[in-house]
Amino acid sequence: MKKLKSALAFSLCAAAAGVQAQTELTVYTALEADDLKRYAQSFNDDHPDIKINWVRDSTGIVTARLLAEKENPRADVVWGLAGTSLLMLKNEGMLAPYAPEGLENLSPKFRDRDEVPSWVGMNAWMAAVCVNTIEAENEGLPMPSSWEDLTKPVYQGHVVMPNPNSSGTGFLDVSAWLQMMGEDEGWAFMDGLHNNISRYTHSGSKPCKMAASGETPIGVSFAFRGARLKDQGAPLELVFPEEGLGWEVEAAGIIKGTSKLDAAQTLVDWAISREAMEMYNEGFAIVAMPGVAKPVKHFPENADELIIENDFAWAAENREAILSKWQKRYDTKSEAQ
Amino acid sequence: MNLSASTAASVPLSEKAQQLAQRWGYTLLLLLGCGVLTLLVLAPLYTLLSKSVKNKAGDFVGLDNFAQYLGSGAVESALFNSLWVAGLSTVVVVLLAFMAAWALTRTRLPLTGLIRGILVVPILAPSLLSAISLVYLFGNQGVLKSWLFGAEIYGPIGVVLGSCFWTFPHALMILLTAMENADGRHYEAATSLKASPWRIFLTVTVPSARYGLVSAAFVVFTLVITDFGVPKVIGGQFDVLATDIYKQVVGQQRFEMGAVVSVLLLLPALLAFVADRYVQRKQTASFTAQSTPYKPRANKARDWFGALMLLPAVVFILAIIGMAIYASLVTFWPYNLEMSFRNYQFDLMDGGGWGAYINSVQMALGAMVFGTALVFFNAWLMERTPQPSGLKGLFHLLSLLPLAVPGLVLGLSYIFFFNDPNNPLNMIYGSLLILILCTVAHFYAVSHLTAITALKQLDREFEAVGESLKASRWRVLVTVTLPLCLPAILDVALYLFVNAMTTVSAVVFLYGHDSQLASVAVLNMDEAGDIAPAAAMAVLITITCAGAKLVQGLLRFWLDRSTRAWRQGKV
Amino acid sequence: MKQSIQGSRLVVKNVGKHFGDFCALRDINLEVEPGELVCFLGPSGCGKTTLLRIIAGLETQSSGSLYQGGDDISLKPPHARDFGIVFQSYALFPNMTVADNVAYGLRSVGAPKQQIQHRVCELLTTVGLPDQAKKYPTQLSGGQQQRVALARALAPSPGLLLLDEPLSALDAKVRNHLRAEIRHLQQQLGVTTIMVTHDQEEALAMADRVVVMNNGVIEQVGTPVEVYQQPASAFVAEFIGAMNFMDSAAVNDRSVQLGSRVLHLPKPLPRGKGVVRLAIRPEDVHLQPITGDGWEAQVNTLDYLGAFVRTQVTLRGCGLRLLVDVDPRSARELGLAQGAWVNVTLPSDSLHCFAA
Repeated sequence: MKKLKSALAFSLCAAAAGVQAQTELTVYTALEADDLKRYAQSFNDDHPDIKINWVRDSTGIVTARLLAEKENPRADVVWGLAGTSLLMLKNEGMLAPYAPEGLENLSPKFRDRDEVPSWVGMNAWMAAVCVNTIEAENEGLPMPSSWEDLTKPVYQGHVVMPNPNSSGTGFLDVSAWLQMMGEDEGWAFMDGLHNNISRYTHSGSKPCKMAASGETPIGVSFAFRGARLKDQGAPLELVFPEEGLGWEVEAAGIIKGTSKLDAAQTLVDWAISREAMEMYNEGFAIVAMPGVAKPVKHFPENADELIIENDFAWAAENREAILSKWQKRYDTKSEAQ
Repeated sequence: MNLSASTAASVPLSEKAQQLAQRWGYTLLLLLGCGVLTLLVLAPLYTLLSKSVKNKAGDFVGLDNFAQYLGSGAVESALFNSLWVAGLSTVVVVLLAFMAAWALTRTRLPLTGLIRGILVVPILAPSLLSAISLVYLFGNQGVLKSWLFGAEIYGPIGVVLGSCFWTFPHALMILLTAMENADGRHYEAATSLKASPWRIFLTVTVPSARYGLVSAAFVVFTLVITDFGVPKVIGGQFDVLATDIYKQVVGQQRFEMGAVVSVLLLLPALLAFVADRYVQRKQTASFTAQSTPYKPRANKARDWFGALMLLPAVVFILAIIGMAIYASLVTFWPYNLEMSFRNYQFDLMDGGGWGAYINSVQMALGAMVFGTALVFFNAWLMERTPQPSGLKGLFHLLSLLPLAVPGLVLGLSYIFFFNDPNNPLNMIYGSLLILILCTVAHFYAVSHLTAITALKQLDREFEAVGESLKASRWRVLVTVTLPLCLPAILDVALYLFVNAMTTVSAVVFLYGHDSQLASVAVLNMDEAGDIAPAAAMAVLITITCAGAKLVQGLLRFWLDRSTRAWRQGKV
Repeated sequence: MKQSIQGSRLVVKNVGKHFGDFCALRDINLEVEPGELVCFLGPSGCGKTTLLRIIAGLETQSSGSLYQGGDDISLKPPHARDFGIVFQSYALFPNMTVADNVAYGLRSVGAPKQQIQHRVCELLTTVGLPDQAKKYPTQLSGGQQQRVALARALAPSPGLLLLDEPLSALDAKVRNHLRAEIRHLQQQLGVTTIMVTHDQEEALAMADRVVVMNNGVIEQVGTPVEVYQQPASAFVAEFIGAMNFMDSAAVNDRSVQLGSRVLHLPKPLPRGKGVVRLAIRPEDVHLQPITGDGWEAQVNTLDYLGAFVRTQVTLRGCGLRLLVDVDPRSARELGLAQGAWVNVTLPSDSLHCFAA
């Protein structure tokens, strides 16, 4: 069997060499599907000798898959996955630390704190509230401007948010509230919000999608999705609550043990290049390299002032406790009604 | 005649060995079948489920995880919700499917081919289509919102409606197989005893379909209780065990807790299995060569009644599908209802486009060919060759096990098992082949039940007669069993094909960069809010499946026509 | 049919069969002569079908051995044995024409096409279905299907023909007709035949010898006349035909006391003393006009059954009820009517005695 395998590998290599000496990288990602082509294209403009083979799915699925493959990793690089997920991979010892070229240009918020970082950031992925203007008017709802507003009785039964136990976006919100408001006030706020919630969803983009199709007037979700839906013609207003916004870094890292380390490093070098940052800026208001970002349609101009000082390490450490407390307070309570 | 004992001993040894081989050959083959299922289902599951007694680091912790999960307070409601939603869906689906199957087999309604086609549509469509439809029909902006009297579609109502929709064809398929070959003499006997139509129904029709009814109930109950797709999309925060797995595995990457819930989920499914076994023990062949196939006599009133029986299922399915098609045509629901075919420009699709579609078709064809052969051969070994009853039971259990396993769990299990560096099979990981194997394993149970039901209906003595006529079981298989089971084989093939086209939950963990699937693309595009291309791809999948169904229908039609003489008796 | 079959001799030696704790057959010994038709007769669950399936090789005996034509076939799988079989359900292959069904066994052994055609034709003519060759089984009546099954079993000229309740699915008229036909065919061909049935009339009418079975053992083997006239046990006596049973006390080894009368027995009792079951068939009881000194009985019921009259009488003194068959003419002469009195005689050579 081994003989056959090596013979097969040899002939494949020979065939590949005959065409072009191209390295193929398996890249796991949770980026938008239509961004993949664009990202790969830009990268290949500079590095035509490296071919990217994408494996794309939603954040939860990709993370679960990476962790499940731990014994025999199939990915070479992760490019475009939530920082929280990369932190988990790092804790499992699955990432190969690497200091890419130009690391010093990144804002310190957007990189692993280790001297040789296990992951580096690309852009920020921030919370937002999607409000359906037509339905809000029908229901006579005022436009909210803060998180606190959402606890007002007038919104009762009109708010949808992701369940933090199922969705990274949901956890991002909960963790941001607790950090911004402090533990006690944070939970008190959520108690108030819970009274107005009509339901919790399993997906982070679902509340915004529901707002877009009028299934709910208000959906707590993230800005990127809201902006996309608005582009498609949804009667949405994106609200960025004034207290501050939870956010998540979208990041890249190299999987430990990859047999194509050179190519992987080339990719990560490129992923934090200025060129790449400009590319990210097409869809995201905040990118990892300060001074690059230009205002993006549907996003606030002062986006980087709105996002909170997010302590990812604290969030990761307390995740289980927070989720368990959340579940006790709201999951079971909502069922007992 | 006085034969001494030495004559017995003088039988040559090699002949004895040959006899042994003949007696045990089939047992060995069925053991091999058990081995294949162990490889495809049991061993992968073990790698995941064994994590339920380990902590994150992999140390054995006994039942700590169970204690933690049971103590979290979420389980009572999730378990209770799972049970009553699955129970209610089972009652509704089995009732509707039985009504439909009765009308299709016991009346002389016209257009039954078309009606059958409509009734299996739910199985041809990706589950997302029904989710979109239910929201558009009964959601806050839904055209029929008032029908819910202020209740919300998001929650148990949506879960039950959605579950009923997608499990209906499964139940119908089993019931049709069970009811299609009815013995007309039983009806003649009952009529001659002056039994009223209602009494005939209760004393002849229902008992003859008893095995099918129990199997259908078992299948639907297990399908609903293990499905996380419908509750995830439309259940809101209505918690069931299957979404708990999703929360643990996809939301929080806690495999060991996901394994705990999976193990708990196996219990109700196992109970259903035991009940099914109990009833099945009593099933015997009901249709033999001496039976007179039942042919309903002309009876206008009964036909109208049959139409009435078909109505709920047909209307329900047409409403859902119609709404889905409408949804794929509007520009932006519900604010811009301008209709156009813009959403059907497949070249604008993301998420794999035509490549994913071609992968899906290849995968579906592979699963169909390999799966049908495997399922039918194993079912034949189990049902039509001499086997120790213990082995039969074991094999049956293994065959039905996949039904109790949520696709999510199966997919993850495949990673742990097939990606293991020590597994010699790990070279198939990430290939189309593993997708085929996983899909066949995932949909093994219903295919198996269909094959078994068909095989059970053959005269028990065919093989014995064959042997007395010096024909091996193989020859009887080829010349008698296969031709008689062809309709069921076509059903199984179609079932595997369409499920392979539409499945998501297991394969989402397994596709590689060059084996993306159309069904996964649909989900991802919808997730991204691109409902239009998602709907377009979903429609493409549905059309493909409908095409496959059409081919199957034509084959069945041709089969029916060329075998009418012996299937329908005097012409 | 021109081609005659060489029937083979079958020997069953000490065969037993257990299903778990349940003993289905116990120490069965039997010899079936070439060309003989033997019926296994017994109530359902007596083991007759199990024995047949063991002979066919469809079940394996737990102990004992089988010989066919001198060969030990105990361990041979069914296809290595030499038999044809007809099941109660016929198990005709519904997807094949009558001709294909009959030809099935010949094709198995790769007989030349022409020979097959000839043989199928010949057999269908023999069973009286020469023009049904192209039809499918479901297009035939039950009786016709039965004949096709028979033709199919006989086509490869087996040395042994096994019939498992072959007539029980048919209506009475067809059954009577086929009974004679099968017997005729079997004798004509000379094929050794074993037939399982629970119908005693069928067994008596068709068999050379009847094997009466009960609870997994053979109660008696004998010609129809023997099992009818000299039943070896109370079970056989009761199972075959009608029988009056009377409890009586033994006086000595040649006589018993019934009520106030002492009856002499044709054979000495096995045990000298105690209670014995006396038995007599209804047709062996004699009725005479009442004379005054005979054994008097009163008629309770009368059933005209065409060829004879079955009457039930009560003996004066002991109150015993007996069934008596009388031919219609004697009934008229005796003036049999409900409530009438007659004299009863129990001829000593018709009495049977069984242990109580």
